[in-house]
Amino acid sequence: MLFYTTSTFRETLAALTKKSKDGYMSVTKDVCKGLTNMPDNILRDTNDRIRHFAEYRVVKLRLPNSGQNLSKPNGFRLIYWVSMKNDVAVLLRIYPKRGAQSAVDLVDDEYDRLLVEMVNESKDNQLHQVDITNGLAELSQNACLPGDKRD
Amino acid sequence: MQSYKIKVVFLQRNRCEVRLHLSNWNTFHGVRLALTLSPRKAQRELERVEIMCTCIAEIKESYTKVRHQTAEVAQQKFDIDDYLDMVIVVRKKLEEITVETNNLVETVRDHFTEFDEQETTELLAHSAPILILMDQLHQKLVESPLYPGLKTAAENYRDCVSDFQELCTDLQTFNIDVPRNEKCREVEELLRKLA
Repeated sequence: MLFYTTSTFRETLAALTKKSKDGYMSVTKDVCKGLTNMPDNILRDTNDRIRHFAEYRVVKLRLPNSGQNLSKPNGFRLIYWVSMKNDVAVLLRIYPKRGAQSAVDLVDDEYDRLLVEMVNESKDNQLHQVDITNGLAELSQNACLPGDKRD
Repeated sequence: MQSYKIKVVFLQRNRCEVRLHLSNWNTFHGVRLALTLSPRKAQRELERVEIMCTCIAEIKESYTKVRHQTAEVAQQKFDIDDYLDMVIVVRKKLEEITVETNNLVETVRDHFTEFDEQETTELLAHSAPILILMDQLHQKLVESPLYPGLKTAAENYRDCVSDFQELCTDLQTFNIDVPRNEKCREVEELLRKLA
């Protein structure tokens, strides 16, 4: 499975890891661990789905916060889009459920906004491809999704 | 201090009486303290009795004060016991509600994708008043004098209410088709192509 990130995801991740006192420094590790531990079929068909269509799913994955020893319900929420046809997933946003930067749950419009952003960034080759086995290290900074690839 | 008056009453046949009037000067509701034949002796008796009465009044006042304080301490002790009992009971019940609510939330999450739109609507209709009541209960707990004794339990309870709220929002997003505008339909079409 190839993983991409949008600018919103990267910004929220950077904000979480900016101040160590907030207790979110383990976020990258927790995201990587959560995604690598899940087989591709579970990544697509997890019960944490928010939207499902034949072609794609939008998933809100609950992740623990190992830095603060918080369980899944109290840890992070990772929103990602995953294709059902190609081995492609886009990380859209991450937010903590508890603590200084805790966010209210996303509503319908915000999911739409994240998806519009993903579509636009893919069209403009602005997605970043990341390696989830290597702490979300960037593999490419000018990536797009398979549907946007031009020969 | 209780007011009193001491009075020498001259009786017939040169007899005097020293009286202690406890309340009303005019009406004798007091104690006959001494009976003497001589007014001079009566005067001396009067002075002696006055000192004695002052002491008695002071002792009586202190005694009353001590009794009140003892009663207050007993009441406070009862109140503290009552408070602690109440804290223990409420904390235990809060923890039970939190555990049961978390179990409910996890069970619904396990079957998240199995609910259809009608079932979700019914579930949300039943959940809404429960969520409001749970939230109101938390607000009352925060305002109550019991709160310092239940802070952790109340915070866990608040988190479980928040999780329940999140589940309801997710269910609504997942299962209830909201009317989509043209722009959203366009995005969905693009997403299908991208996939």
